[in-house]
Amino acid sequence: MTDHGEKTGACGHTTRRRVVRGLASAAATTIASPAIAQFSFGFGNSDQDGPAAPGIDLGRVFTGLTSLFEGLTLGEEDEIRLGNALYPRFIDRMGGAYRNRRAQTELRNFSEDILATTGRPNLQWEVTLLNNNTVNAWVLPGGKIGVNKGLLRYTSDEAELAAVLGHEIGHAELSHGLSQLKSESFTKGLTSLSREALAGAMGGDRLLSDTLIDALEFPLLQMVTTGYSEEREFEADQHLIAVFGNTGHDPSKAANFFRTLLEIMPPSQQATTSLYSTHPGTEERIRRIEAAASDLPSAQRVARPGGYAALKRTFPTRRHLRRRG
Amino acid sequence: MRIAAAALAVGFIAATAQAFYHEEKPEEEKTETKAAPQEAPRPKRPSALVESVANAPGVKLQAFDYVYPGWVIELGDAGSIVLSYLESCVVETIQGGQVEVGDNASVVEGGTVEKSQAPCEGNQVATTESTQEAAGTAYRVAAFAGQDWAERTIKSDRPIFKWSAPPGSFSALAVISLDLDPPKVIWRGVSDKTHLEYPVDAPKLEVGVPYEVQVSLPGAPPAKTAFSIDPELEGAETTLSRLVPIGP
Repeated sequence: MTDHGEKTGACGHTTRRRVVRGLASAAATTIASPAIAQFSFGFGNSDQDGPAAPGIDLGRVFTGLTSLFEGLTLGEEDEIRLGNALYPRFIDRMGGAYRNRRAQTELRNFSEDILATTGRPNLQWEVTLLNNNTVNAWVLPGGKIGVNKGLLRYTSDEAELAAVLGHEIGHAELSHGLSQLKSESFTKGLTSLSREALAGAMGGDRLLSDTLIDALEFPLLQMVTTGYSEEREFEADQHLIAVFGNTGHDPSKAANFFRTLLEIMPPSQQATTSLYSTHPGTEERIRRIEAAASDLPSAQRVARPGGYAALKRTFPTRRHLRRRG
Repeated sequence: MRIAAAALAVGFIAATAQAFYHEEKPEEEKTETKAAPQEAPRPKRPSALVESVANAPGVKLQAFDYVYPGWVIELGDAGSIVLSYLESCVVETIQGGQVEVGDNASVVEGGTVEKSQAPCEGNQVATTESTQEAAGTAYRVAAFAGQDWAERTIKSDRPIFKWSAPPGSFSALAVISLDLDPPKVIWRGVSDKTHLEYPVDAPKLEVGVPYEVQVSLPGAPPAKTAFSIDPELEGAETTLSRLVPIGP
């Protein structure tokens, strides 16, 4: 008797070897699946109904659901609740609040004008400077913003910082956190264990339960720090243009910080953030921002005393790590 | 199939044998396996810095020595030691007793310990990779792979550089300003110890500018650490708040 039409010896050794190898391979795959799936996130590089995240499609393998949150009605109070619950945890995980009280105050002062333009006055907006060297910023549903000190080191003027804040505020204003949470790509990107934890925490209530918020902590942390879908990132980029129009920041500089990211991120960089994309490229985002900014009148803003200039005394703009050309 | 069964049987027998022959060591033996500081094997990373030792002649430690997890320090009744933990930034003032050095705090028996929190960065991993075990799932926050963001921010413009070196060896140090084009050495020094305070007469360090300190030992590649200063960091200036550890 042969397996796959292969000749065997008198005792069928080849057949037995194939069976053993097959069993071992299946066992290894089963054991390794969660580990592989942990790193097969699709955030930031797929549309809501776009192509599946790379790696194993756990949505089909484990639950058959395309969205755990399809039937859940989530609104502004849920956003606020999520943000309030997770903000202190995210701050803690991302390095903690930077222990320079004056810098914290100056960042909040700088943000006031930009936050004053929001069309969501019920959100409990808050900005914290984080003790984190990477060049990134993020926002939670409900208006909770984190800005890394690493990012402040690479803004060259206040328009660039305004662009970062305007972009992040756009995500919260447009409820991108909630909409992406309810998307197929979010569910597909979850590991089997977090999928089980979330499914187990779904109590059928309208409001998010504490258990569900706990289960959402790490998936949301991943989402806000690595970026949203392509469509949502474009929307947030357009939102910063609207902010510039309201605040009078120089529209010709609206895309400058994205150029800075191209200078400092290594060419091999695959990880994304809300501000730095690989799909679409950051170059495309720059092009779209500049096209939209060209319709705005030139800068009308009078720089406030303190604010940005005061921040830069602590975080002078760096040349270090920038690639030329 | 016979081979697989035999392998399983061998494994079962081995596991059973180990379970059968494992026995708890008596208390005296357990204590004796805890080594004195200088005799204990050194894990790769120190967990704390000795700030001071007093009235403990049997303790072969001095200020600016590193201590490592698992080390046991016998202070006796009158001895005292101040340890500053590098990751947790906890400063422990310990009076008497036996001290077992931990990863982030000491276990003290027969003595008293006062703890305070020093303003320091801990070992902030620059890539900010953090893994969190939650229900067995590890999530890796986005790492900016390929770029080294590691940098320690200290309060003082007179950092204390600390490194590991064989006793009696000479180390060459250099401080480089990374934001100059090209980066430039602004100060050089030599030390026969394993720590050195940035001299008063060295070029003044500027707020927020990235610097790199390198230490070279004969026959070894240089170890280096990036740092910057921010005098407005909260908290009093302590040894730990001025410390720039170099290398592992």
